[in-house]
Amino acid sequence: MVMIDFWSLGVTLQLRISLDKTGLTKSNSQSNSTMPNRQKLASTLKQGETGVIDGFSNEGLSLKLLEMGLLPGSEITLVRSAPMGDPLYFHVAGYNLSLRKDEASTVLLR
Amino acid sequence: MPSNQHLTLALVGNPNAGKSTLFNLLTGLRQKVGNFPGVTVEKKIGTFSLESGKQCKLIDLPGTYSLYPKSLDERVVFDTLYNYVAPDYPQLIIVVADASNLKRNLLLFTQVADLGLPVVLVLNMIDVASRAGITIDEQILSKSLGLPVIKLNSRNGEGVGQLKKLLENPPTAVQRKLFDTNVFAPALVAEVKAEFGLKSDYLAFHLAQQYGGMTTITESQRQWLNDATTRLGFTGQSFQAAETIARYSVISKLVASAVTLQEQSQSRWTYRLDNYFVHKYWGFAIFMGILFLLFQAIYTWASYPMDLIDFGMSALSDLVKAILPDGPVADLITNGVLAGLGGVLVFIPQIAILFAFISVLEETGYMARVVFIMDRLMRRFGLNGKSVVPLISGVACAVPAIMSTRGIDNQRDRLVSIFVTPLMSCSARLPVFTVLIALVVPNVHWLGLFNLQGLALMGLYLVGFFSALVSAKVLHSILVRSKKVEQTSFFVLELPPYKVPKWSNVGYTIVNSVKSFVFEAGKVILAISIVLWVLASYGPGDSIEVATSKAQASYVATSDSAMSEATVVQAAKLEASYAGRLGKLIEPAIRPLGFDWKIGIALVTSFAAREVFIGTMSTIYSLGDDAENTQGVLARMQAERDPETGGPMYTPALAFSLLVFYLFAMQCMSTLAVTYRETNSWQWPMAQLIYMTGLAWIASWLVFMALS
Repeated sequence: MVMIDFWSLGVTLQLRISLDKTGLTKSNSQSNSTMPNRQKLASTLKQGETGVIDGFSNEGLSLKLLEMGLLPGSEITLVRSAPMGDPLYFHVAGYNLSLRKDEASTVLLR
Repeated sequence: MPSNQHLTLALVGNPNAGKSTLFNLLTGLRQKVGNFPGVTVEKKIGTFSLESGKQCKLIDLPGTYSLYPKSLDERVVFDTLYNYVAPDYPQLIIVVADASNLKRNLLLFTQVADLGLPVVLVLNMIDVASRAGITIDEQILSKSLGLPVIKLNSRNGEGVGQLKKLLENPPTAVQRKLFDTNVFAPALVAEVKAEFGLKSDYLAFHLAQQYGGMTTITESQRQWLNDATTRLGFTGQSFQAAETIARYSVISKLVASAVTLQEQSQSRWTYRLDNYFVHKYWGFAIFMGILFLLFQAIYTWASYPMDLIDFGMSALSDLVKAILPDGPVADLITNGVLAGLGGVLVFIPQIAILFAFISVLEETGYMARVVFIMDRLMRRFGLNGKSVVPLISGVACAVPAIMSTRGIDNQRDRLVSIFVTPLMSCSARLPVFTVLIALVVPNVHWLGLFNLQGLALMGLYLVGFFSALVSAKVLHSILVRSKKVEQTSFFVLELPPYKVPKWSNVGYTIVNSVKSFVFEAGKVILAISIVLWVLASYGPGDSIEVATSKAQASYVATSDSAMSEATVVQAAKLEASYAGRLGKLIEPAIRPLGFDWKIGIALVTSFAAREVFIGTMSTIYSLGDDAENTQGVLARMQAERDPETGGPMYTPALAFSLLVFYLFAMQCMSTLAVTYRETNSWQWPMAQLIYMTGLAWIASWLVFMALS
């Protein structure tokens, strides 16, 4: 049987997610106006570029993305974008996943 | 073990994990398609027997990535697994996992296993995994999980024998905790367990989070859960992220011990193909090409078997006429029953070809690319890429298409998709289009390549498609302005690797769709044909006899050489019948479109189902036939004369007006019924009926005015 310390994991996670949330709202508003490149997002990856997931800025969507295997610490590569620039085509967690640009912008990279 | 023993099984797994392939492989043609109770999510149930003679019943649950539902389709999975009082409650859950993407697939597995139900893990697509350099030791996996693990290749059936052997003595439930809910809410979980009499902590934990939308608990239970969670300050969502990450960490350890990954140059096929299939220009060109091929196929390939069916029905009709004496019985059988039956059967080739295409596009993984390249474009019209699937399926039939909108998680996009899907030209319109096009468009080849009739047909489909887009845009802006429907939108779409389609799966899709058409729609069409025969053959009181003698008298008087006496008398009879009266009643409303009361009859009967148009037309016109004349409806319509001008009744103006009317009008009771079911209000179907029929009237009027 595999054992794991759930309690500590849960606590650190919750801390990190709530931190991310606050940090994120800030970075989003900044990226839209004055400082566009401060926080790297999955949506700002260039074609063929790989980033490492740090956290998420949208709680509801993050639940879905986590279930799809987009875990903090895992790599995400932009394979290409759709003909009209949106949605985006990623390689992540061993498979290909399509996210809209605004969805990808909730994935924060290290 | 007694041989008549029943074992009920449920299939659970991620989308694209090969669940349906395994389902087809196990059950073959012994499958039934229905609905889950209370909802319209498709429920496939099949049966198969084991070597010992034991009977198994297999339920195919919708594909999902997690037990926490994100769409209505996915909700069915947990609701079914919770509802242990249901008669079809599964005694064993078969979790199908894609071995080539094990970690993500095991998330759902660990959730299902923790519910405390008997579980078997099937590692499917083992061939794909080994090609990717993944070797899985199922013994180790089985030992650490404490339950049976079977390697399987559902494409060639490898491992199925092992699964069947296991089902002879199915494993029993084990309470296990791959994830311990006591980390989060021990007090609440204990209370829910006691109140609901549950054994599993995790089941109780799910209940505490999902009670709001569940369909399989009572209102008082929902109230109790609401009170308990409020009292204990439980906020479900905040634990989900932590739970998912914890599960992935368990999975990582499991996988580390049981899976060896050989570094291997990854197959680049999918990326190479995607260079074309989702390319800026090529992507759209290929998609248009596929649609073009589809419509040419439906139009030309289907015509041979359709002619054969027509020929067979005529021969049968002749046979009946030869055997039975003239009279109402022979007339009912040939002009009522056989005409109606022919109207059903003649559809089969077209439906088969259409579903073959849709099935191949889905099997290969191309359908996901269509969603991907179309999303941006569709969003401009207030839809999203996932609306492409219902819209394309709408080309077959609006009823399953509207049901398939359940995959769209955004409520507003979903309502818009439901509303506009019936504007797509469904297969029931196809025979109407075919006959009317054949009447007025010459059957020649343009540039020696494109059939002109095929091009006209494609044009009609495109007009339907664009009217659906424009209507979607209008409705979308209305909904945005009224702010009635709140939205939470996830697109998040897996792009599966390209695969060669498994042809038997395509075959099962064709068989299922044809079966449901013949038995569901066919019943209605046949019944209406018979009712119509009665309506067209009888009238109130002695009106028919009066009309007959009057017509005979006037015929002698004028002696019109263009029409035989029998035809004139039959026309008078029809006019005096119940059907004729109904047609006359609505004639003033359709006269501006160029339609007469005979077409009026067809419009009335078409409301039950559009395809009845052809049956109605042949019933109406065949009433004038003598025994030797069994020509097709096309020839009959060509022969029809305008009583005022003496020229052909079906002028291009009238034919195109009628085409446009059928293109837009809401003439389908089943669609209205399914819209009501899906939106849970009469507002939506009523709006559809008024909007589409109004649109049809205006467009037909414009066309008729322009051409005549």
